[in-house]
Amino acid sequence: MDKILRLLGLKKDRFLGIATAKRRYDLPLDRNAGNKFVKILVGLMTVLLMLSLSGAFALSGLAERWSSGLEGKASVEIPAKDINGILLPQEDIKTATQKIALMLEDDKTIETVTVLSEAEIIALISPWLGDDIDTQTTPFPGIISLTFYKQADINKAALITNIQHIAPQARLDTHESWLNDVLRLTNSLRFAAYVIVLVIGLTTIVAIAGAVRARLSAYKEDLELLHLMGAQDNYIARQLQRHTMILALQGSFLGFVFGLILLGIMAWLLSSKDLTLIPEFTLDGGQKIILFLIPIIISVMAMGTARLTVLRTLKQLP
Amino acid sequence: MIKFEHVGLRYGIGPEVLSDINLTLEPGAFRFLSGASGAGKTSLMSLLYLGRKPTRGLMTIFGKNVGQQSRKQLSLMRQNIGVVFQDYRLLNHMSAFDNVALPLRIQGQSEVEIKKNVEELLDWVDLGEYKNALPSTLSGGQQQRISIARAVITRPRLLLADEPTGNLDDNIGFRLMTLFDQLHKMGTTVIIASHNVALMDKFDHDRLILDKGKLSVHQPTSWIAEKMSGIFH
Repeated sequence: MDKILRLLGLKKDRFLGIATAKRRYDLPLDRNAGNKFVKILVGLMTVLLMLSLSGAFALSGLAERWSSGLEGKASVEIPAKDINGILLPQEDIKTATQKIALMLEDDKTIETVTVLSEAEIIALISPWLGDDIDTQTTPFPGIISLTFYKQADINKAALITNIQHIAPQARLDTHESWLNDVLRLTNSLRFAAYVIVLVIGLTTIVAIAGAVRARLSAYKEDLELLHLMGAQDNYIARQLQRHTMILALQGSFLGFVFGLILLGIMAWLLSSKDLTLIPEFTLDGGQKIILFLIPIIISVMAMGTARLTVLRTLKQLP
Repeated sequence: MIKFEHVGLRYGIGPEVLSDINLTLEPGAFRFLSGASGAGKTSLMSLLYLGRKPTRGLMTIFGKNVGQQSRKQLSLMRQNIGVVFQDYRLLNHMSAFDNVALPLRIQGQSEVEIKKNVEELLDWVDLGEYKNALPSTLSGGQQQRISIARAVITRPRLLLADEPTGNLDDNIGFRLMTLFDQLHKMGTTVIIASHNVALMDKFDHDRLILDKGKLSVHQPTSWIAEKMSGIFH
């Protein structure tokens, strides 16, 4: 229990700065003002990493759900006006809709054909025209929803020709144009999120290297003395890397808890039933494991950085 | 065991502070190193404790060419060299015990052995009751004794001491010189940089004299004779 408390920074490490058989610290590493800096830095970087990675994961999920939701789907609209802009009788539109539906059902690339009922069309247009639509006076288009077979070889041009042979004003919408735009935007944002993750990682490495270098400079004479006594580079590096790892674990644990709270708040805000376009903020198992591994990854990164910095600095000694 | 052949040392692009040093010391030799201030004693000592590399010449310590050793091998060689620095260079955050124990811990000795040896040596230098004291709470003489204890605790093959008795009274100074003499009789090569002629005269060892970066060897009697002749001139 003592070990865990010490590791979490809730209890002072009585071994720091004291040489013992098992845990050697020949430098007074516990008495350095830079310790708090490393903890706070790592804590903040952990929060930022968690947020940016979660953002990247959420954007991946969003793009996937949008594309898989609309992939292989299309809709046929039979407008209420003909190609000359003349309003057609509602009966003509219904007849044309039925004919097109029958033609589509015979197409071997199409799996399902669903003619939308009047009520369904009203539900679709009510956000723009309101709920009290007069069905007698308002001209309604005919809408058919299609699902293609997976990996079907769709001849879009032939399909449009066949549809417009029945109703020249009819349109086939495969959602490609706007879906591609949305996916391009989402992928750009996701790329930006991963770049931010990379930048945060590099910033952490640079800042920790700077902190370790400052510490080495503060203990320059003591380091030289250890070196002259025959301490090998590894011996000295081990002490600083272990100390940095402990500080990083303490900082990243606190950052992780704070990050979890923030993500919880975000998930709660995005879980509202009113949001229809943006899917719910959820992470799959693998993504959760990566988030949980952040404190360990960042601590190992800090340890490695400390080790390399110490070894590079010691190389300057004869 | 220690051999310098035409060794020179300069700092940066400055003039040579040591030039054309030739020196051969057999295992177990005992030498005093003397010279005026600025003659290059500290520079020669730093070459000997492998704190610097010569800018020219061939330097062999423990029979190994220093220039051809890897970093790891140099570290292992340093573990066999005990150094008493003029300014003690103790680690101020560590107790007297931990300071003396440090070279043994670097060598990876067991804590049981360390406790036994360190306490014994601290008692011998009259600091047994100060083993838990921090250096900053001790006098200059006490710090010097800790520094000496730290240098000899590993029974090094080469012991280098820069003015080791500077802050000690004659009695304890003589006692520590006797310790160095005993180590030398056990096979340790000892080189002591000192200005204390009276102390050097009590021991019949050759003297290395540095003058403006040049080294010469004098027998104790010839040294006295030179001094005497200098006085009569």
